[in-house]
Amino acid sequence: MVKLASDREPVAVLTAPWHERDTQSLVERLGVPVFVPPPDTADDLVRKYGLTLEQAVGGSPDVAWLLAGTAARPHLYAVGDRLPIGIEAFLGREHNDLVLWIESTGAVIPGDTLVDFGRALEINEWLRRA
Amino acid sequence: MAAEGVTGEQVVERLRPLLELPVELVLPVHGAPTDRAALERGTVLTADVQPVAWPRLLSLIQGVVGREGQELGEVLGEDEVVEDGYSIGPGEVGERGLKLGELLVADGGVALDCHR
Repeated sequence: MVKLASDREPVAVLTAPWHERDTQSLVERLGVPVFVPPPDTADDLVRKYGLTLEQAVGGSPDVAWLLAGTAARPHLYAVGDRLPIGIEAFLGREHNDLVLWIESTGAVIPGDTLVDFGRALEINEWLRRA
Repeated sequence: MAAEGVTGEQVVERLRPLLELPVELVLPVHGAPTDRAALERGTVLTADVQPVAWPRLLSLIQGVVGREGQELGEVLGEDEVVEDGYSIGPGEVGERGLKLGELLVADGGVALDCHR
């Protein structure tokens, strides 16, 4: 990825804030801008997972380094947004677990909503159940 | 108390607009790259099956004397599933926080593999 990035203008696009993986190191090495759905707020954590406000204080730590940093270039995006790099965001399992559509390549990136854990591509069973 | 999540049907509904697009490639975060056909298959729930509500599942389990490894489809009939897309294996935690494995051990060691 680093080699490919040498003659391009790379960006990092996360389908969910908890999917940051090596994003921080890529930002540090390549200075890439990062597009990411908003991490869960304290209210989100209370509503979704039944935490108390005391437990949820400060909200999710996902991508906190990114949002707090001065060198990084975070771009929060949400359902319905069309990113300037030609990516459209569709609603997935959660307001911040999105499915991406890249028109130029006809590609869908289904985040944690559609997964293949060895059986086939299918709706993720990790869903918070209704 | 946590808020309710979404059902498989709701997710399918959310993904339906994607099927209107000229999708050629699907790049899963979990899984290998695949194609439109996989997307179509993955966004279709088995519409001809009726979800089994949790109380009914419990009553079925408690009333079943099955054999180890028996599939739920054999017990319930192929036209019934336990919630769309919901999978429970021995020892896993069911949606009500019950450990199905423990429950089954208490019911005589029946192991069920519930799946679509």
